Formats: sequence, C-alpha cells, structure tokens
Amino acid sequence: MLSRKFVFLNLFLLLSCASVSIPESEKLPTPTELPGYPYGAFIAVRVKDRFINGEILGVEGNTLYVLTTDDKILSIPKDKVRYYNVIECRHEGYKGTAQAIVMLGLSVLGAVSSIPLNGLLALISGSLWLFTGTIGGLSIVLSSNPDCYPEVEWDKLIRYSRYPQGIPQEIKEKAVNY
Amino acid sequence: MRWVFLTVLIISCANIQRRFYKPSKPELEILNKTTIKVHMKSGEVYVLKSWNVSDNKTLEGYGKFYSVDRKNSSEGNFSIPIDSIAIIEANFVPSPSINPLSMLLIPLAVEIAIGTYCLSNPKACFGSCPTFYVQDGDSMKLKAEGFSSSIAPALEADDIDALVGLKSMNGEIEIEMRNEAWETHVVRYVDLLIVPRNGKSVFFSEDGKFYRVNNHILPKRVECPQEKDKCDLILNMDGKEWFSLADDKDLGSREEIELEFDIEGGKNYALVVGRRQTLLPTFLFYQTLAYMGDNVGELISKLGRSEEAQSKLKNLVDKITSIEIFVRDGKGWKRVGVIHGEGPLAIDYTLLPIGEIKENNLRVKLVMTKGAVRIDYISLVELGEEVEPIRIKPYAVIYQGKESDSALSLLLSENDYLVTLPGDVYKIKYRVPEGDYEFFLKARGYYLEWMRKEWMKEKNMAMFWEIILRPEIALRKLAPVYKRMEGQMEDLFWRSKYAKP
Repeated sequence: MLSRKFVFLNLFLLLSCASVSIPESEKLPTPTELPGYPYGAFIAVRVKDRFINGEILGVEGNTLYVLTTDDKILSIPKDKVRYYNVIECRHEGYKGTAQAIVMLGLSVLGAVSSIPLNGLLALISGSLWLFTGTIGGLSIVLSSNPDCYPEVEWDKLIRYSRYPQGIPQEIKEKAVNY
Repeated sequence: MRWVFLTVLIISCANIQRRFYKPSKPELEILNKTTIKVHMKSGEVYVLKSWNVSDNKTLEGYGKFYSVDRKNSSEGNFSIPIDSIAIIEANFVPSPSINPLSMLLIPLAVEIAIGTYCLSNPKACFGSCPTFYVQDGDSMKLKAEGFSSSIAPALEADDIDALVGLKSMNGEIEIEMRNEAWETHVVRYVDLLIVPRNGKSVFFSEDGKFYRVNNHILPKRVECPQEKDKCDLILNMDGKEWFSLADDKDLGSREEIELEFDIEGGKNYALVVGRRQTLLPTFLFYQTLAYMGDNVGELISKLGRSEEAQSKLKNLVDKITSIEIFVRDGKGWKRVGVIHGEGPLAIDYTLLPIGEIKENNLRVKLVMTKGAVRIDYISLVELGEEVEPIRIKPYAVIYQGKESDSALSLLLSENDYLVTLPGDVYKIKYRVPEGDYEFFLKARGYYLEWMRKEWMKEKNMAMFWEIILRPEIALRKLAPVYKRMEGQMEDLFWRSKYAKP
C-alpha cells in the first residue's frame, strides 16, 4: 500500500516544525504493534525550501528514498538535507496510567497504614512506600510509553527503513530525484 | 543509591531496539519465541509470530506475508528457504526488568521484617495499661496512660494524669480509651478532673494535691551526664525529650542532672517535671514475667497476698522508675522528694513542692536510674494556692460506633469493672461547664499482661527470685541482655501496638 499515510503526534510538531502537514488517515504503529509492522518508520526531511514527509524506504550511500504522503517515491541526496526527524511509533494514549495509579494508591495506602502500625518507624517505612510507589508508577508509565522519536544518524537510518536489506530494483526505478 | 541507579536504568531503557540477524539457525535460536520480520532478498517480508528452524535450509512459521510494495498480503503457515532470506529483523519494546508492582514487595518486606523482629523479641512490643487519646487538630493524640503500675488485682490503684493543652468543644470533652496491647484491662472508673485556671497553670503534685502555679522559670544552667548537646530539649514542653542510655554492666546504675535557677528569694517554689519512662522498666517487667513461665498465675496471686513481696517489688520499681530530687543548701545536697514513674507511653507533668527558698539562686539535682527516664521539661514555678478539682463522671460511652449503656453503667458504678480486650476502643464523653480549665484524668483499675508463648521458654525461677530478692545482682546480669535490644526497642515498641483487624 504505497499510498499509506501517517498521523503525526502533537509532540512531533514541537520536535520538528509547525509547517509539517498532518495527514489524517492511517496511523503509525503503537510500540506493541511495532514488531509486526512491515513498513518503515516515518520521516520528515527538511530540504532547502520545504519538508518532505513520508515512509523511509531505504538508504543507499548518500541517497535517502522516501515514499511521500502524496504517494511519490523520492530519492533525496544527503547534501540536500538540512535536518530530519524520525518517528517510529505513536504513543498509546494513557497506557499504563491506570496501573501506575493503582501502584501509587497502594503505596499511599501502605504509607498511611504504616503510621499507626509502625509509630516512629513510619517515617522510614512510609517514605519507602511512597518512594517505591513513585518510582514504580514512573517506570510503568515510561516503559508503557517508550521513546517513539529516536535521534538517528544518517548511516543508521537504514535500520528504520522498509527495506533494510536494500531497496528492490523495481522500487528504485520508480524513484524521482529531488 | 541503589534506587537512583534503578530509576536511571528504567528511564534509560525506554528506547525501542531494532536488531538484525543473519538468516542462520544459531542466530535464529537466540530469537526463540520473538516476533520476527523476515526480509527477503526480493524485497518481500514475512512477519512470523511463531516459527522454528527445522534444519539449516528452511524456516517454517505462522504469520503474514507482504509483497514487495506491501499492497498484497496473506496469512498462514509458511515454509521459507533460508537461502532466499536477506536479513531478519526483531524489534524489542522495553518493559521493566522487574514487575513494578513487585517493587511494592520491598516496603512490604520491611514491614514484615519489623513485625518478625518484634515477634522474636516480644519484650520490645507494645504494652503497659490503657491508653487515653484526645482530639488534637486533625488527629487523635496520646495524652495519658492509666494505672501503669497496677499489674495485678492487688495492685489496683488510682492514677491521675494531666491532659495538657486539652480544650472543651461546645461544653463537651471526648476521650478515647484504647486497649492496644496483649493485655486485659480491668477499669473501675475513668473520670475527668477539672480545675479553673484563673489565669494560671495548675499541676498535680506528688503529694496528691492540686496547685495553681506562677512564673515558669527555666534553668540558666543544665548539666546532663550523657547526650550533653541535647540538654536543651528539657527547656520546652514540646514532646522532644532528653534521655540517656542504660549502663552496659548494671541496669541499676544511677546518673544525675544538675540545674541552676536564678530566682527571687523568699518565695515558695516547686519543680515541674514532664517525663515518661524509657522501655527499661517495661523490659524488666516482661523479663520477670518470662522468668515466671507457666507459674505466672500462682506467683502473681502470691504477690497479691504477700505484703513483703509487694514491698520488695515496689522498692525495685521505684528504684528504676523514680527520680529523686535534691536541692543545694548551705550544708550540701538535701533530698526534697521523689517523682514516681508513670509508664513509657505518655509524658506526664508532675509538680514537686520544694518549699521556701531564701536565696536568689537555687541548684537542683535529679538522680535517677541511667537510661530509665525520658525528660521533656523541667522548670521551677512559684507555688500558688492549693485547689480542689471538680470531678466529672462520663455521661455517655460509645463502643463499636454505638452508645453503650452497659459500659457507661460499669464506669459509673464504684463496685463493677469495665473489662477490655486487645483492640477495644471506647469513646468516653463528659459534659464540662463553661470556663477556662486545666484538665486531668483520674482512672482506677488494674491490668493483666498476657503471657507470650515465647516467654514460656525463658522460665527460670532462680532468676525470678533473684530479681525479687537480690535485684542489684539481677540488674547486673540482665544488663547485656537489655543492651542488645535497647537501640531498637523504642521504635519496635510503638509499631507493635495491637490494632483490631
């Protein structure tokens, strides 16, 4: 499906630039869906006068191949690229938040109940409850929402592409030079 | 530090890892049970959720196939020749290296560890008579403990405790009486004593009288035998206490605090001392019970019948828990009285009249057992007139959320007892007339300590009789036992309060 489009996340606007257009149809995979996702990551490439947005098809030497959101395959020479941002997934809303709240709730419950049980020791045990709950809650939220906006060097871009083994000739032939 | 490291680890691991592998059996075996993307030399891709390498030539698995342009796909079982595979990709999404919820096991384990320690050292656990709480701001605050020396029916006694800072609300006072220990409390009455302040403080004195007092005079010099840098803690009535540690060779060792006051000569003075016991007396009490073992019932009963034994026990208790007060006159140190111990739970503020002092300077010495007393406050006051308190009986008792007429009638009767068990909480209500009062609690009764299974193992009649008959030797023998647990006792004691499930 070469005409696939992506939805940007709001954060991406902050990371890149407000001039990036926001397609509305299909979505990037969530982190959970990523291992079964057969496409490349999304890239927004800043060239001289505009942004080129689309899926990373591959990288060969100093040329980047992008399937743009308007269904064109562009080959972009490295020396034309001013900068780029890669998005490999979209966050799953508030995933992990409920678990984190449960964890924080349990730790607050533990801390409060340790006051009558532990007397002065509650200063230690209560703090331990709260500290553990906070760290645990934080770790749930962070691990449920991994970083979808990796900073990728040029020579590593191929790892985020649809064809990490190299671009098939039939695809390459359709490419238009930028 | 370990926590900081763990936090950094969790945060830093939150990146998705894209890894690539050669299409060979040994490489694939590393990826066992992972979803993989099989990138073909042709540009097609298989996404396999389950798979295995039957031999070095074929990768078999279940999943989805996508054409080069990804426009076509199909799902099913596939058999893929390994030599047509270009590269294999696996994406690893981070997850916490440990289950975050399981992290809560850490504080839980700490709680259990404390509890276990308490079980294995039951002499460190909460005990000692009924506790009385009053509303203080948003929480209930422990203000008094009742008849803590009355450990047997024969030792039933009155006990009066100052309820410092208590105020009536709409002409009413509510006091919560709790049984927070493994004890049976037998309560004859719990009455309120009120004394109009008339702009002054009122204290209950060691001679059993109430006095109005003027001018709290703080010492200009304090010399403590230990913890010298914390001597100043005795200057404020704030619950922050000075205390020392017991002697490691003899639990009966004595120590002194010396104070010097600038005063106006020719007036009657008294000493106000706010203090409670450390857990040394509690330890000795529990250790004595442990030595009695399964003879405890018989021995307590004998104790009740023998005035001589009671007297010996009282001497020992007084020696450990009391504070002797001396003042310096022209001939040397003169003993002016004793302030008796009142249990380890609530700070009690007591007055000891000294008499008329002619000089403008007074030196006072407190002599007590080393490590047995925690002192919150000491000041000198001008002794005012003796006053008679007004005694107020409760008008209502709440038990388990309901008004209990039976509990009330037991507390009102002079002949009956209200018996409470571990976890019981009674709210006792009093009506007080309009006015500015100093409040005191007058309670009478006794309590029976429950024997712990662990104590039975320590039965040692020789040691029991040694404590009763030759306490000076017993206190030396017990010193190392107590010192091993002294550091943790206070914390363990307070966390081991019995709360009804």
